[in-house]
Amino acid sequence: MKSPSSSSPSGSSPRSAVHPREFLMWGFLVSVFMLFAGLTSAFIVRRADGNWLQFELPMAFAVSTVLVVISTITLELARRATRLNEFGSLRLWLWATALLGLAFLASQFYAYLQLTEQGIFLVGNPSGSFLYVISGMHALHIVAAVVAALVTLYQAYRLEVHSKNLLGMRILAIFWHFLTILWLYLYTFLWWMH
Amino acid sequence: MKKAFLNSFFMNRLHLPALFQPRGFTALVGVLALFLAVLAEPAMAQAVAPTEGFGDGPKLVIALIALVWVILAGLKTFSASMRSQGVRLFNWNKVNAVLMVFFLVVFMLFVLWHFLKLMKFTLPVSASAHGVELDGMLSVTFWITIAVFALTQVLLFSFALAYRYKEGRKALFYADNHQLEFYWTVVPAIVLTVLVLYGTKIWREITQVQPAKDALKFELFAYQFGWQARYPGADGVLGGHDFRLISATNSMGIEETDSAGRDDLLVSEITLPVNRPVLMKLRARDVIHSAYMPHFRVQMNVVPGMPTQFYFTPTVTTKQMQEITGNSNFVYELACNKICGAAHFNMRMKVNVVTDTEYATWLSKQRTYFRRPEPAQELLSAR
Amino acid sequence: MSTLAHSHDPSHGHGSHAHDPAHGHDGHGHHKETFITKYIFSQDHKMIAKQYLLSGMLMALIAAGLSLLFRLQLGWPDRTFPWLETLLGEWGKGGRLDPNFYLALVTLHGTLMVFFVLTAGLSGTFSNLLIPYQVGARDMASPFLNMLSYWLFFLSSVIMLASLFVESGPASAGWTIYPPLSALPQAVPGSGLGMTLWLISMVLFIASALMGALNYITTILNMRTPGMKMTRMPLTVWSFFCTAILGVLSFPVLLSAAVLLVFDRSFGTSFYLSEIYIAGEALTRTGGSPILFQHLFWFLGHPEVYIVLMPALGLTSEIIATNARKPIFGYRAMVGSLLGISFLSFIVWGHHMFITGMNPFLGNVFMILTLVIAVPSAVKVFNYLATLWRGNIRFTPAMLFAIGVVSLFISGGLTGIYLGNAALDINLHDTYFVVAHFHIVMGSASMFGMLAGVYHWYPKMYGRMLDEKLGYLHFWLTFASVYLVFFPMHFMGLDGVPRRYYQFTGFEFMTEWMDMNRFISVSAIMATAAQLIFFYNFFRSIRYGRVAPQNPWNANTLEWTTPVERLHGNWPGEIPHVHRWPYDYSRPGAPQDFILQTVPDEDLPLAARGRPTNEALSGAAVTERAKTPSAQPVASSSVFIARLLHRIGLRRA
Repeated sequence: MKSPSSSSPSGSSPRSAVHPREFLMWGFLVSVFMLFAGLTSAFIVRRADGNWLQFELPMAFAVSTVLVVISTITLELARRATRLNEFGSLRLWLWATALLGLAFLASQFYAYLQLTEQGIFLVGNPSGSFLYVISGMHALHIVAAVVAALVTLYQAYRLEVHSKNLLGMRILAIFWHFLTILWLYLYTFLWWMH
Repeated sequence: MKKAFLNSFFMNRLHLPALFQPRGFTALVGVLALFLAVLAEPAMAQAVAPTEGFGDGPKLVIALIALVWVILAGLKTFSASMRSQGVRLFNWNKVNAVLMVFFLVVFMLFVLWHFLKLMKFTLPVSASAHGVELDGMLSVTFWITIAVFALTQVLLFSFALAYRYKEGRKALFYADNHQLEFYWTVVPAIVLTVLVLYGTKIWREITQVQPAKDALKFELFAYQFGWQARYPGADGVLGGHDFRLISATNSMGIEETDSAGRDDLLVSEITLPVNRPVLMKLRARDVIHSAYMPHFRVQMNVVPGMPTQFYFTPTVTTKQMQEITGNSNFVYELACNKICGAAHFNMRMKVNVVTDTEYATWLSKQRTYFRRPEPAQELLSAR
Repeated sequence: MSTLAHSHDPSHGHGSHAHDPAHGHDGHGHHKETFITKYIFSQDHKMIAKQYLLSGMLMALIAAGLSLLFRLQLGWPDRTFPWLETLLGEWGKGGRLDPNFYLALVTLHGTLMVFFVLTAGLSGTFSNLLIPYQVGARDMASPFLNMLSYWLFFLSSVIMLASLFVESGPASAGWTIYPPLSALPQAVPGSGLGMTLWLISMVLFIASALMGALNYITTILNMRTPGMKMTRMPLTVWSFFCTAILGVLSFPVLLSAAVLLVFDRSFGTSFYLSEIYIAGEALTRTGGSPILFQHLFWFLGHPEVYIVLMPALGLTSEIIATNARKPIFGYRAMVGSLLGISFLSFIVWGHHMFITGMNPFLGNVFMILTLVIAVPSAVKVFNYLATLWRGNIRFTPAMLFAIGVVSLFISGGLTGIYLGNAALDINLHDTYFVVAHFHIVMGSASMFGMLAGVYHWYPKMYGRMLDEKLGYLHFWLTFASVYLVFFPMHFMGLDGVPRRYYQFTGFEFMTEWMDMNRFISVSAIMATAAQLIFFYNFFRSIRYGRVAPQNPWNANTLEWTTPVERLHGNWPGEIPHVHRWPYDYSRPGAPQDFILQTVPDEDLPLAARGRPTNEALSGAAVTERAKTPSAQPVASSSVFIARLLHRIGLRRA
């Protein structure tokens, strides 16, 4: 996604220390935050109305949490490797991150299976429906993050990611870490409210 | 001076044929305005008085368009020939500036016409107790807003004329005035605060007041596309309901096993005794509807799965309202006011406000919701 | 001159015929442009702006056409029109509009106008055109995302228009699409495939809007040229900035509302549905709340109306200042009111829900906050009036429309005071009073803003001037028509006539309005016809308009320092630096009645240098004068008013 205007912003010193594309990512995260704010507000409002089925959160969600936290660590390790131009490590840790992202998705899917065993389906009491929808929307964003990680991996293989071009990794990291924090928030929220 | 004013419309004083000299042109414009006024008045009058069919509308429009076209074409040809002689015909800036004030005058007259001619078509005096308060609030809001409206529109359009471009005039470099900003922030804030406090008071009195113990409770049930109304029987209690019980023989889903419901009455017209508080319970069968009774200043959405209610006191009987409006056919009507499908426009139920004795008589004649062979005689004493 | 022949396909962004395809020293010296990269998948903000404009204009024409169809029904409910059946088939059987289709028309009219015309067509066009120009950037922060944003919008438009042709009909639950009506095809046929397409279209639209908004914010914050402090930005940019922030924060919540609705419609969930018996069966869905949807919807819905309005107000500020040859009065107050309106717009959504059955206590809260938001709006109006005062006004068509914006904003804004009052709303909610209110304050004011912007910046877009006299005619016909159409509706509302009604024959108290409806329909036809003048002017001038000078309005902002032929990268050499705010019009001591933002103080005579101060009547100037021996007394409000009256000639010194 190279474009002249972003690589040489108006030919002058940038207004802030933040590169425009990084700023775009932060802005995007604000939107994502608002999406989940809307969904979790809806959750709270609906729960207050009563007729709310209580159930235990599936174990697999705890596994998901561990996986996503580890993936955040591996991504940071990948970034460190980039700064030190250790390309082997960079690729290794990026692969680890992407695979952990996929593992996260798998554990989410398994969590859904565990829920259905409990008798909690998408269709039925809203407490179950909300769980599926909220975690599902988060999972969709993880899919996007995994794709972004794979794209960065591709760039890494082409040696376009190195200590003099850290922007892409930085933007990926912002997105990825945000999703980790978001998951921690959602998991805590769902656990507290279930 | 008048000549100078008129001549200023034209960039150059010319030796023109009489028709196009300032005096002639003014006469032309005057005739045009007269023509429009003569044509327009019946059209406007037609708009409020019932007539048959299309009326003269299309002919009017075509005549108007043709007239304007002819004038514009004439002007365009004329100004083109003038321009080819190096002469600019109109000071368009001044034309537009004058049109601004002309528009203001017509606009204010237009607004005035609405208030003079159309107010009588709006709702008559409130038929409910809280409605009187509401109408008072409406009146206050109206006078405040019309004053602001008149002041600001007059300033806007007259500034447009007064400060139109003049060669050699310099605009005033006036970028800021904190004092002025302060005043015109604080004054509206105060006025609006007053309106808000007044409004919250009335809102609280209408919606956050505990219904009286002896309020008449009845239930209005909305469905695609009509209303059903149910009154409590002798026990004064409405029976329980469950939407899963809805069927061809139980359209409102009332629980037959609930003793409170067995004596409930199904009515075809809402009838209310005057001056008695009413608690209207609302339920919907399928989609969101809205119970709207504008004469009573009553409106509340009717939501499936979420019963709502509205508490009010009718104060004017149907007969009294017939006298007030001078319309012997007047009836109070309930309309649906939330888009609900194809026949949203046709959900109507009559509402009658009657004296106590008339109400008792009417009530005694109502059948129970669950059909029983014997008439509900015991209801004669029910309230 | 371009030799490329383009068909007039407004939905593809094709530029002007006069557009010079050669790009000069654009400072990049990179990619060679093909027809596709230049006109279709363009990444140039100016081209994307034109794409948005043309798409918006097309959608406006379609939406207006839809409104004429239902105004036909409302104006002549007892007549049949055989051509309706030819045009609409089943939906116009027997020459009468089908009641279901009537609701679909009303729904699509609202949806197209609010989102596709007044959000994409207004914001999309002018944010794209003006932000890079006016902050001094070569293009947006991400031209690629910008292009993507337009094409997602295009796709969204295609899907929305396609829904018009679906057999079961387009979405028919009003543009507000409340469930259960919008969730159940059994409730109204349009809630089948038509509603599904509506949702898909809107998801794409939201994605497009978010991409655009993020781009605008990033560009404004990150890519201003040196000297372009935030307090030197034109009010247009401030308004686009606030609009974009509103979009980023509120559109995702609409997305969440839509996501839950999608699940209710297609996956059997019960987020919004509860205890419903319809089409002969009791649905198994229980536990939902239709009110929840309304909260989520209006959380976007209210900021949305400010997303529609603020760009129009920003454009109006700029056009009025330029054409009155005066600085905009109270620049800081104008910025402050934009920020105030933006903040407050998030906490007033409940005023759309006073009689939904929500907790009445909330009614108090939302009523108070709603009336608060009237204050910054009033401040803006007074500032516009003060800008006109003692100006030297040029009535370009843009200026006429800008004055129209102010008039409509006043009229429509004042009726908002009635509706914001929960008690008064009891009898006015969902009546024609509301229809009049939002059509005047949001629909017409913003439409006028958009038209003002087109007339004013057409030279920048196409290098040609629009015909002025056609512009005057267009303005006066439209302005008169708008009031003719919508003013009477207030009275219908006061009489309790509900909106979204197919006809009024069912109720005694509504029948007296039948003839007024005819009058309104005739006026609406006139209003739409007047727009044809504009379309003719617009397309004709692309080729035959007078060639524009570089700065036809003698304005101060940066876009007028770029060449008429429009370059990729905007400026042929270095981007100019900025040395002053954009409102130095008629500055005392300056050689001309305008000073470009790029002019440094050194290039001006001594008298015109330094911080801008009022010629008279500012607090500082008065206290200054008070220090001199021939002192005026220190300013007090009575002295202030006295001097004010003297200044406007109402009082002798």
